Amino acid sequence: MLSLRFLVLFIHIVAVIVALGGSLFSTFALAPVLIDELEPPARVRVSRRIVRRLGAIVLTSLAVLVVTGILNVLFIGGVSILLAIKLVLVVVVIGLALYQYGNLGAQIWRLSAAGPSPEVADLQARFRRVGLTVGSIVLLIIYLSIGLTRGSGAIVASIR
Amino acid sequence: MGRLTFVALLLTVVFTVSYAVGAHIAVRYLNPSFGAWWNSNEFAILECAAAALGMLIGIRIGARLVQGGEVKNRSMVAAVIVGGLILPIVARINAEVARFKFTSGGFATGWLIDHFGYDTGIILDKVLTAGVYSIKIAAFALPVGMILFGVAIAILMTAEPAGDTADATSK
Repeated sequence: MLSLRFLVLFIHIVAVIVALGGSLFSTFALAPVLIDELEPPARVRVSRRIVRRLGAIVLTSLAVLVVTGILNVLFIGGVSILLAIKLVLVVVVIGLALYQYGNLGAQIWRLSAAGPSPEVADLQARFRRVGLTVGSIVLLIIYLSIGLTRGSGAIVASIR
Repeated sequence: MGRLTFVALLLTVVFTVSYAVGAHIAVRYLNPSFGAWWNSNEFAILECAAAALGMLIGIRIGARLVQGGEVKNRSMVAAVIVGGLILPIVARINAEVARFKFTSGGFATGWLIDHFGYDTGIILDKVLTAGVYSIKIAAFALPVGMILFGVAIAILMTAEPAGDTADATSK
């Protein structure tokens, strides 16, 4: 029960929860409330700071995911085609997250310094769309992970 | 950055081929002590060079996805420095992971011998095996490089002054 393998798996799952939960909370809870409750100048001021903080949290969670994920592969002791697909999807998610926070987030940060504008609104909409895409792919990765450990073609059973 | 990637690629190719064909014998012929050193270290250099190549490609892909500027350049430098520091660990772990087989394997040997004859086929099979091993190490190191850059840019962006909109909006 208390082993290094369990600890690594626990941290891996916590990192998924933090990354996915943060993005979902921001998209479905925080953004609508900000639109309803705050005037545009104040909303832009709050949301530009959220973009930065959330970016740091999500990208750090992804880093923890990658490290613990590679350690998990070591513990499992095999690589299947399903796992290879999962790894490719992980690279896609990291790429999209970098684009979301490093490109769109940076543009929002720069443009919103002058206050609300149509460009900022467009970028925010694109930021949300990319966030939802990342969330969907992460859910697909979780489904593949369940298949890897619990499905009929579970990697442990197929390798050993 | 481009030169660093080129050096990593060159080292990966040279040491992969050298390990596969046993090129240390030729080096031993020219300089016995250097050949002995080459033989005992070529596999470790292959692993480190492949991991470095994967991480550098990952950092470059990550940098392409991010908008330019001073923060991006500083993030690349920071990611390369941290990547260099953790290279031995990444190379070691990825080398372990790369040894796991993806399929039941072994089908290429027969095909290569059929098409190129026994002597050439065996050598090509060794080159193929070592090449796939290097590619797998680099492939596992790629997300590590990408996320190193991601964390670096996240930290540097958050550390930047807020540049609050309060003044701009009040005006």
